[in-house]
Amino acid sequence: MMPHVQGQTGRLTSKPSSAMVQTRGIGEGRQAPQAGQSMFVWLKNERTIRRIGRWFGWISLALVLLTILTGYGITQFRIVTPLTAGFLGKAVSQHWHESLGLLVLAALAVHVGIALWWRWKGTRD
Amino acid sequence: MSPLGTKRRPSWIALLLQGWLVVACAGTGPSLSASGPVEIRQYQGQNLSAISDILETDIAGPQYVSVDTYRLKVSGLVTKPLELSYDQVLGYSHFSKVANLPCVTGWDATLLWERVEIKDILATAGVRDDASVVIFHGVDGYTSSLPLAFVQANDILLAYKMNGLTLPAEEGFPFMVVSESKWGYKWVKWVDEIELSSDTSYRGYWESRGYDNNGDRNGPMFQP
Repeated sequence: MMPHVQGQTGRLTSKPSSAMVQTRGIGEGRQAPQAGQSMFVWLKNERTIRRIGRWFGWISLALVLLTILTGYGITQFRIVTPLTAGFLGKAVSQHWHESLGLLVLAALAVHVGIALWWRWKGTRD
Repeated sequence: MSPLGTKRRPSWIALLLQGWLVVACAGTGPSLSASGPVEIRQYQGQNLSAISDILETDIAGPQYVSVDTYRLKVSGLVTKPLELSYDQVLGYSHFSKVANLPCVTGWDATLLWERVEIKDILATAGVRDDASVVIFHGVDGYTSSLPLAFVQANDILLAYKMNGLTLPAEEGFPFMVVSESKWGYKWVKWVDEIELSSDTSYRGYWESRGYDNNGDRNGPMFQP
């Protein structure tokens, strides 16, 4: 912890002020563990959920990019098929493209859902 | 110099107006003097799609075929192989019909087709008893097939006009197979050979790349 100025006296101290705690992310570190719940489990659950949300964000991005690529695989198969060494032919692209829509929506729903839940939790606490 | 002795400067507004008039007249000129065939957009009360509505999804891009050198070959299991010129094909009885071209990628186009019946051409060539499949070859290397029984029982035709205009090069000039009730990948463009075969396991270009061999519009799109 870097030393910082405490109060008007300008005295240096290593103790974090209450203002520093307040500047953390929304909801982060605000909620105290409930009675009978260990600190470890409390932190682990919250962070795991946020991590899952973040991962679903990346998964959504990858799925959106794949949807765009397979879309081009249908309409621009003369370019995409040789670029993917024949892996993304027109039929494969179309097959995937039609299935990807629901997956993108599901992944995006999880990502946005967790983000909203976290924000709501932060404002509630 | 003007009579009053002052130098007259050109009126830029007048010049701009003159320029605009020249451009506007030039723009309207061709449409006023157009005398060529016009695309039909309505037939017997039915609205038709525009030729430009057809999206280009060909395997090698548009093909440009010369009528002078063009020959339609009828080969394979026939008693009398044929090589017909463009005019010889047009010599068969032809008629008009509205048919919908559905593409697997989601678009479709309803157009008026002028065409000859393939079964008339096959009758001239004489189909052998062991033939069961008709394979269509395009000049771009594209192929697709239909069961012989289906071709003989239905109006499977060779179109040479769409919406009253001779097929544009981009849309399959000189001939395009019109396989009504089939997906667009059964509508072979730039047909230059009709081959009769007994190979029921034959798969055309897209059929060998995952699309269903029957190609029925109401059936499955992909191979199981």
